[in-house]
Amino acid sequence: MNEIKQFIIEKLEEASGIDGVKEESLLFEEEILDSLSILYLVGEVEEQYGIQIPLEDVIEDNFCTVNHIALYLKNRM
Amino acid sequence: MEKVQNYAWPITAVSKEDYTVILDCVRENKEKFEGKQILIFGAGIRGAEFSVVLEGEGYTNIVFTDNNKEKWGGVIDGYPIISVEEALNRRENVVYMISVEEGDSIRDQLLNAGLEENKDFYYPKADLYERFTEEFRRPMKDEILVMGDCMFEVISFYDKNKDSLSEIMQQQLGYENVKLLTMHGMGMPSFYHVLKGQLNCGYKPSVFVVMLNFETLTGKQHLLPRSQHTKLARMVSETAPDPDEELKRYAELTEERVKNVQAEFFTTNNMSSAKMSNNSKGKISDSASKVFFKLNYMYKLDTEMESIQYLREVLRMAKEKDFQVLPFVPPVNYQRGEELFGSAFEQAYSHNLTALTEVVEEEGFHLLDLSHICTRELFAHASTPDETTNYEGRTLVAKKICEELCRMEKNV
Repeated sequence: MNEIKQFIIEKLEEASGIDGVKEESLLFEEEILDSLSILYLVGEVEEQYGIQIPLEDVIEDNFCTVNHIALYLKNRM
Repeated sequence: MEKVQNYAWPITAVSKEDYTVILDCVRENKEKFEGKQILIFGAGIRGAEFSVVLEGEGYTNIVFTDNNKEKWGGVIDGYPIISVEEALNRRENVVYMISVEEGDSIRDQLLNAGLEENKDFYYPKADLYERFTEEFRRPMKDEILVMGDCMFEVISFYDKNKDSLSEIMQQQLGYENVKLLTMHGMGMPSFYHVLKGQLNCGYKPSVFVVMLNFETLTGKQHLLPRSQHTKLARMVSETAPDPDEELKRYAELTEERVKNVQAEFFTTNNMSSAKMSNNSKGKISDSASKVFFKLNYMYKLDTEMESIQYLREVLRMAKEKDFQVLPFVPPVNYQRGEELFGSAFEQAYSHNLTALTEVVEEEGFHLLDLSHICTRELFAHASTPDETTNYEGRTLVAKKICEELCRMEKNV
């Protein structure tokens, strides 16, 4: 789980240009995540872990923090 | 100090239709715009385009508003985004412009606020769907049918010659010999359904030229609401002489996608927008460019995905109905890709190109690969992360397509 979180944080920082993203950072409120970087994150995760993420699952409830994203991914793997 | 969010999109290009309608609106109503603050309703991509065109005409007293309150307090390249309430309270010396493409609800909003269209506010519309449907209806017999996305319509803000790729192709092939059905964000599912609609109308092309844009073949961008064009699908299905049930079902599917896909707010943190001045930089930041390049080109092409299945259906339909197909891959700013990713870019890109070529050849057709014909100087900007070219680049693309059409004609 930690490895997944670290990967997500790395990709969020790459896409946003913002350093120091935390597991509990509010990704939308803090404007770290937007639709383009969400697609990028989805693409990177799919490539890294060999899973498919339906776009209908890309909702705020699943992507609001790193912890939420990691939990969602763990359930899909 | 709290960072102010810049919602500007890295604009180096604009659709020819948008450019024309915005410019015409401002020039034809010059006395209404001069000396006024211009309040643009819609702080998105098209709104940013409006501001660049206005700046080119010397207007810099620009403010934005948007119904998305998350954007209030932000900026578009220094121009503030204010609340709708504040915007509507500013009546003195203000002229409003609606920048949202499907902005009828905003038009109603302004009318309900007591503003008068073409006096207090302007709603320049390119009427893209109406033009597309009109072209769809134009009778065709053995002409060349071309389908693609915004690459056919966008021009660079830096271009002296502002002919779009569509216009250049019409000049080279003759207006009567070519039909162009192009729309931003359009991909293979739409191409299939529109082509089928044409055949159902009795319009069979001699050659079907179709753009294969990796942006619509990999990743998930093609599933976003902005790429669905539900209204257009319905307009086209209603145009067909007999009810086109397959097209109606496709329109319903696009409507479902618009409802179910929520990831659609375009805001980014470190983009820079091109300006029209000679000193403009217009460079898209490296971090943003990497995101674009990955999304557009580098995720592995899945030959089982929907878009590729539709491509196969198009090619099989062509064989069944006996017309030729010229699928082509547009230019990619490979030098920028290499600059950002080193050899990893070409490795990922080549993998996808090879997979796509195999799909096309399996169905018995030849893929025209224009990937590397343009050096970075031929793109809208040296850092352009997609296929948007300048006039010289567009001319080269048109030349290559026409050469291939000649070669195909000789081989018949």
